[in-house]
Amino acid sequence: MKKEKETGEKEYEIPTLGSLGLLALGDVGLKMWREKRDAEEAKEKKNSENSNSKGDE
Amino acid sequence: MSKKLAKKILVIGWDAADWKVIMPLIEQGKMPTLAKFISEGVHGAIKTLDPPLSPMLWTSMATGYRADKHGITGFVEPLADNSGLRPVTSTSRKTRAIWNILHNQGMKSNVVSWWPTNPTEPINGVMVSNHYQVANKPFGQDWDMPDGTVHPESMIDILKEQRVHPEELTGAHLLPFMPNLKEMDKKKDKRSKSIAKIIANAASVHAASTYLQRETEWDFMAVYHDAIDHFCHGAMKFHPPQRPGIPDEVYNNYKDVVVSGYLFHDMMLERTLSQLDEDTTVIIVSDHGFHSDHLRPKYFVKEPAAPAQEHSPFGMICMRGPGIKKGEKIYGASILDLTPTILALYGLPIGLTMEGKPLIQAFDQEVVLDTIPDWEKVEGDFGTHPADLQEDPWAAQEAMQQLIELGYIEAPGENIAQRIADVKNESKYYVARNLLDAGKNDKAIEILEPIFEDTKETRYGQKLAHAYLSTKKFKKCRALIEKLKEKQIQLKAEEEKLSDKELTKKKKGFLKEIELPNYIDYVEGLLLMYLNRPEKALKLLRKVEENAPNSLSVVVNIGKVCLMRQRWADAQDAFIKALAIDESNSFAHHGLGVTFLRENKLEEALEEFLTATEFDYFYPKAHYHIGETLAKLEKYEEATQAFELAISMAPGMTKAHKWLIEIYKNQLNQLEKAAEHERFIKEKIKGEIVIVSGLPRSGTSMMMQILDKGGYDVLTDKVREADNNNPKGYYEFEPVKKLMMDKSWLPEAEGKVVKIIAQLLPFLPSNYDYKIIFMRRDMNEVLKSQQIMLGKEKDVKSKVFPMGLNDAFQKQLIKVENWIDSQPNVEMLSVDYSNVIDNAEDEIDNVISFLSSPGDRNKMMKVVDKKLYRNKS
Repeated sequence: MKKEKETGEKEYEIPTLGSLGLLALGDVGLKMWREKRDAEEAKEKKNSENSNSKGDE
Repeated sequence: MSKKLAKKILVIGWDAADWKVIMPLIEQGKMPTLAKFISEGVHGAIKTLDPPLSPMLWTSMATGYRADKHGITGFVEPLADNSGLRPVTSTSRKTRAIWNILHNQGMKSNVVSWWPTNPTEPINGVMVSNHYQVANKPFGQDWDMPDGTVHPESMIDILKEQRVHPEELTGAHLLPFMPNLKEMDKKKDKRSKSIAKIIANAASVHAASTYLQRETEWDFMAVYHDAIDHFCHGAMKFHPPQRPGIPDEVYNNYKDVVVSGYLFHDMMLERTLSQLDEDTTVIIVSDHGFHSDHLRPKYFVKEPAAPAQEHSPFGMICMRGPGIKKGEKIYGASILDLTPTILALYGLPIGLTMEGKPLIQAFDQEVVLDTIPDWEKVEGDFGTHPADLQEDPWAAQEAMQQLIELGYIEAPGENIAQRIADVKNESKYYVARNLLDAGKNDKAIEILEPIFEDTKETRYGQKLAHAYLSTKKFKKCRALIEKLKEKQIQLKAEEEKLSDKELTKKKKGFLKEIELPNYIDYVEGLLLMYLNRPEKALKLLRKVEENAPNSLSVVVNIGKVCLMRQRWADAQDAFIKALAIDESNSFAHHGLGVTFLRENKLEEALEEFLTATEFDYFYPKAHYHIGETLAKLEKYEEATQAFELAISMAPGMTKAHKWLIEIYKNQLNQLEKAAEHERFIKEKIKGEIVIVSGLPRSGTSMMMQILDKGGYDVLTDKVREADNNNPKGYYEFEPVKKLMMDKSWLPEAEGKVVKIIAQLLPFLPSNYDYKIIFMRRDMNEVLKSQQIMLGKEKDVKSKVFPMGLNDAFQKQLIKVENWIDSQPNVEMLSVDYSNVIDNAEDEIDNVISFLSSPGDRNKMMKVVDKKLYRNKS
């Protein structure tokens, strides 16, 4: 989950299901989580559409 | 304008946050942000107001006024057209809030979710109402934000996005609160749903506030979180340690909710503080505490806001930043102090009509406070609602539903008119309790008398009885107790008609106050205590204690009665027991201290008195006893500080003035200061006169003789000699008979005992303190004895007394009793003549404990001569 940047700053990977920590970050954390969640959902939707369309072939 | 200590202030409200839960978490390293915060600032307990109901309390905090002034009197209010009820609205507030004053001063405020701020006010800044976070539609549907939720309108769209819907949350958010979530039967147990709602609401408020904090300009910001209160109401019963009767499964499912709630707040706080610059002073404050230990109530008394019975009287406050001391503890804070403190930090004048005080002990420098007569009377723009604002009832509907779910209010019944009437009475009752809490007993009585008369609601009667006791309206209290007894008999009769099934069902629900063990005995015990009948009071209170061994107020009052009787060991037992029930009880610490002081255990006494003031700073008697103990420890400088403090709180405290004279004169050689207090006493404080009174032939001469033999200094000229009617003498003082016209002899009576018949008492001047031993005797016996004395034995034999004499005497007695009740400088002990004859020991003990100095008990006992009890009825 956690990656070290060269600068020494910690970089967090946003979990798709969110976390209390993200809620505690307020509006910024909420926005990050929703973006990640929505992106994942869009990706899943696309994947499922793709697999459906492959099945149609 | 006084010195400005703070440029920006952020107030974070954590409803129900309590040091009792927080401190262990800090010690375990689980709340690191708050731990750092308090190490960099000040912290302490903050006293709530009664009743501890959030809308009233947070409005008191934002205005500096109690409910009778600010007008927010409960959770609900009727709709303007009386067609139903709605959650209380900001339009009902009658006084200006801190953000209105700051608006007037050209400052910008952000206010988020404060109780009650719906509809929002047009202030300079942003206001987000307390309805903002409430989800009123299922997830996925368009979640409207009702009118009046956000000001200004330009902020609506961005703030809409910051709301979190409970159904949006995932297991990742909920598992820290409920680790067994996956295994739980959610259909059977709805609690998980309400916990999700609380987390979502807290996240919404936090997201809105962090956004506003960062993206807008502001001078003042206030953010209110209700989540700790709601987590506690939902799950404190499952908080460790597991209590008897809580099943293992449900305990394991919810035992982490309260702690996780606090930890979540610590995480949110970290983010909030990280966004601040160094110019901001931060205040974190709660409105009351929440019982988290053995004091958690086992049942609720049936009343509309029953869950508030879980609240404890002390919340938490901590402050950090510019203008604030570092690493210190503060004492004596009240929730009324918040607004005056904010004004003082900004260097703005404090309204003299405000009921709180600025917490200057928290400030890192001395300030000269600026004041203003009344902020309410200042004209100008305060960013308040236009006078004709109408509220949209729809906007309030969902919030009302939440209050019902939380158990704060009952679901509206079919009979709306009755519900509105009930709510109206309930609101009046809350205001009356708030007034009682402020010691404004007469005003409370004005409210309670009519609502008790209308409803016969026991809770109203109970508070009324306490108000009568506090104002020495003992006869009214006695009559009220009789009414309550009648009601209890009636309820018992009704209960007997119930089937076993109905009875079991009833017992499972709330208890009615009248059904509490020995409730009436308790009030009656207190009445007897006030009437200086300690033995009878003790008997009743002990009986109550047997049935309710963990009732704090009962045990504390037993301690008080034992103190009255100077039974130090018994008093000690009672106060130690009280502290085992609640270690923060200031009365018990003070009482225990008194017992130590009287046993000359000075160090122990001092510790108890200091602890009492730690929990309740405004406690003049405790400060007085700190002074007395320090003086006995020969720490004279410190003693004077304690006495001066006691006097600043209770200026008429004669004993403290006398101690100060003694210390300034004989120990510290500060003669000017001694003279100051001597002057005060000379001008304001009266000497004490002990009076034996009653109707003629009610045993007053006998009581005078008892006191004489006991070693008390009696004032008598023996002009009237002993005779057959009073073989042991009359103990009279001739000038007393002219009291109506001539009061010049009174200085002679100072410090002595003098006999004055009842009818003359109202002619006593008010510049003395009086202790009246009032003799009571059966009226027929009094009349019989008087007739014999007048040589009318024939009338006695035929029982023919002058017509109307009985009535006239009774009326005179009522008049005299009313006079006694109304005099602040009069204390009265009722002594029953026949009791003295039958039970001399008990009555003489009462007399000794009533008087300031002890008498020779054995000699006093010998005076009582049963042979002289000749005119029995």
